Amino acid sequence: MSLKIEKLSKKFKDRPILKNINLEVEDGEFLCIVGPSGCGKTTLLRIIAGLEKPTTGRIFADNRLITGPGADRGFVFQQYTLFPWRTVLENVTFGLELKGLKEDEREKIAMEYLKLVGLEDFKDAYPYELSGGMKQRVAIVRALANNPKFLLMDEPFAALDIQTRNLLQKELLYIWEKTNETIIFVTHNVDEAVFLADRIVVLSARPGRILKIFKVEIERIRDRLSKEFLTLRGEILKILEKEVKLR
Amino acid sequence: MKFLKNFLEALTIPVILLTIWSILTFTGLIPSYILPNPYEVLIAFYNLLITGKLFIDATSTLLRVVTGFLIATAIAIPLGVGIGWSKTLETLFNPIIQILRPIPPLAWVPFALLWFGIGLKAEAFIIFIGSFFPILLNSLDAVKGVEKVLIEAACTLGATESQVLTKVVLPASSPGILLGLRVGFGIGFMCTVAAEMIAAKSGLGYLIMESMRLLDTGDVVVGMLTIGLIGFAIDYLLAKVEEKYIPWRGKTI
Amino acid sequence: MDKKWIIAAIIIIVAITAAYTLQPKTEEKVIRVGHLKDDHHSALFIAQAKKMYEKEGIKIETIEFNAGPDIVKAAATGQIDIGYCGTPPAITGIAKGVPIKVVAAVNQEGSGIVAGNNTGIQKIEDLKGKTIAIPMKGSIQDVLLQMTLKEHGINPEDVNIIEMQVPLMPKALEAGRIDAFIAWEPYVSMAETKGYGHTILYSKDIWKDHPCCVVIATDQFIKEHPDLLRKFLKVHIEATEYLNSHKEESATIVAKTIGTDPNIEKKAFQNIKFIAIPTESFINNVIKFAEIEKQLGYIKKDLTKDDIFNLNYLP
Repeated sequence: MSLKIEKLSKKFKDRPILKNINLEVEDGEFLCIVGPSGCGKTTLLRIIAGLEKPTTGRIFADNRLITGPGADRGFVFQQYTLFPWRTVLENVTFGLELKGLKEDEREKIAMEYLKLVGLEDFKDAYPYELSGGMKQRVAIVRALANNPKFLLMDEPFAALDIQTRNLLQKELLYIWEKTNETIIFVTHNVDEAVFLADRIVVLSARPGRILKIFKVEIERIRDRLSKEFLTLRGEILKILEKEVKLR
Repeated sequence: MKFLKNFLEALTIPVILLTIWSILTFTGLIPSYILPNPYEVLIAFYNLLITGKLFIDATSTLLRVVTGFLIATAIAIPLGVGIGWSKTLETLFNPIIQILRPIPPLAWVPFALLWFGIGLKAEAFIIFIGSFFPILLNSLDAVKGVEKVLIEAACTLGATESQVLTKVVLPASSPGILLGLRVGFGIGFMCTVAAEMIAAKSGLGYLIMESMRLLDTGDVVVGMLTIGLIGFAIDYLLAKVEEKYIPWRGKTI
Repeated sequence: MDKKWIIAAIIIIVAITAAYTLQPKTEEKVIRVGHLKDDHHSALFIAQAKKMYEKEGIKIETIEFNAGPDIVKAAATGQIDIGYCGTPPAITGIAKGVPIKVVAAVNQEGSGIVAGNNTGIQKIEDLKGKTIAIPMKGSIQDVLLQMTLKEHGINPEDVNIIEMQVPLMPKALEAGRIDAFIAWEPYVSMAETKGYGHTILYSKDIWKDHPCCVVIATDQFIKEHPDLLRKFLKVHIEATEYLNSHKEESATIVAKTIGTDPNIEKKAFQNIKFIAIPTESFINNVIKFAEIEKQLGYIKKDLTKDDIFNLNYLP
């Protein structure tokens, strides 16, 4: 199962945002997309999710052409998107409800995932009672419980403080190892990308095109201060600096 | 203890008003055919209560208000949700809504009389006009105001368009819709005076108008206060319903 | 900076208000007269049209109201000095302690019971089980209706009597929403002329010479400007005489003033008796009316002639 992006470009009212993106995502890999602000990385992710349409080019998920959003591509947004009128448990079972699963089945699946992030005690809480970090965990688990083929994440930890962010990064890796999801993760934080990814796609400034793809072969759990980590980080940062200077 | 304190605080302004009112009327500064003194109001209240007239008038008014309000709700909520959700419906209905909305319910009285004759239908119609637009517009705004990102999240979880409508848009707009109901009821209730001008034989508005003509100012005040108290009680009930069923309202996501 | 401007603004507003209210009243007093858009009050319209007030050397200002009780209320709060209104609101006001007096008569009769053409109602007995509209409880029309029903042996409970605003009555009758109404001219003549109703009884047939409208004046006006009151009433009498001697011409003038069809107005004038100086019988009828109002429970006091009338300013 893989994702194939062919000759994708995006213009918004004559303003080019993405230019000629060609990319293949491997089954089960953790792919990060980084780039300077406004380079169109979020737009690219939303097009993959089917929330926006490309101007030219096509995307295939398992050889099926993508035309709109679907349960096969789960999405974790940057903003908090839990449904405020539903409890944590009801949020997580949302997708399962849509599929028509019975209540006890739904609850069983949901509780498994909630245990993964340590929130099983909060199943009856409402989103307004949770902290930011907790809300994003629930959002991740809600997407995962739906068993999507791809998990798309748009800077999900950007609004959180450093400690929570680091914690959630580790948790995400743990979940990923357990579930074997294919994850496409967009971030502007190079550190985060180097910590998490199998491969890192570096986009240019607007209109975004692929400048370079790095393969990260460091063993997890990665030491942020190790030589290999810092070298790779430095390389990526240099490319990005050039992009920003050119503008 | 805190409850007692809040209760007493809430009483300060009414007590001040009552004092001013008493001074103005008992000293004869304002004659009783313009404003009755508190004692006269109490007597009037007692008489209206004992003869059962107040009860009949109150239930009469409530009957027509509830009837008009329920019919307005049944039409305005689906219509408002539909217009908020579908651009086609919005283009279709918007012009006529904008034209009809500013017309005060009182202006509809001659039409009510001609179309529905005299009786509950005509009166409920006036109440209906009063309640309809607040409910419609609040529902419409609530649906339009649903955060786009919630809808997108639902789509990425596999929701179809109708599932988005029923499982996301409707729950998300329920605070706005409920607000529309509260406002709509309040306004509909205020229209009872206009409604009861169409040849009603009982009702709180009717009581007020009759008593005004006969310069029975005590009855007028009782009628006004009763309308105020009932309106307040029902709004309070609706607020409590909101608290119980929508505990998450107003709190950030 | 802001505070200074606010204080300056307040001072200016207070100064202007004070100057306005403390102005010595060197100008002539303008008599404020309240009335309805009603051909019963034609004396007022004729007097204005024929410039009778100017000839007498007084100035008046007319204020139109929607109903008699509003005129009495305006008198109670000092917004008018003189009013043309129906006997019932005047009596209600006096019974409640409003400081006014009836200083002259305006008209007798002038109302009628109109039934819809498709209702099959030809006489009072036919009203049983039907719906008839009255202007309001305690009005002359209400009392007249009660009187005639009783006379014809009909229990008022067997008739569906409802209150309605008079301007709505013609349309309601036409649309079949009511079977009949009792109201003042020109609505009675209007129904006949326009062809949707027929008169089954004129008010004069129920109670001959019954009082209808009167002129009231506030106690304060009587006390402070007796001379102006005298002059006003002199004009009122003159205008009433003119009405009675020049019916056709007056009907046309009044039609123009209140915006009705002159033909309808001419017909209506046949049904109204304009009278300025109350006769003995007029006075007694008003007192009788007050007694009926008390019997029906609309007022709580017994009123004497001196409670109601102050006729000392008529010549």
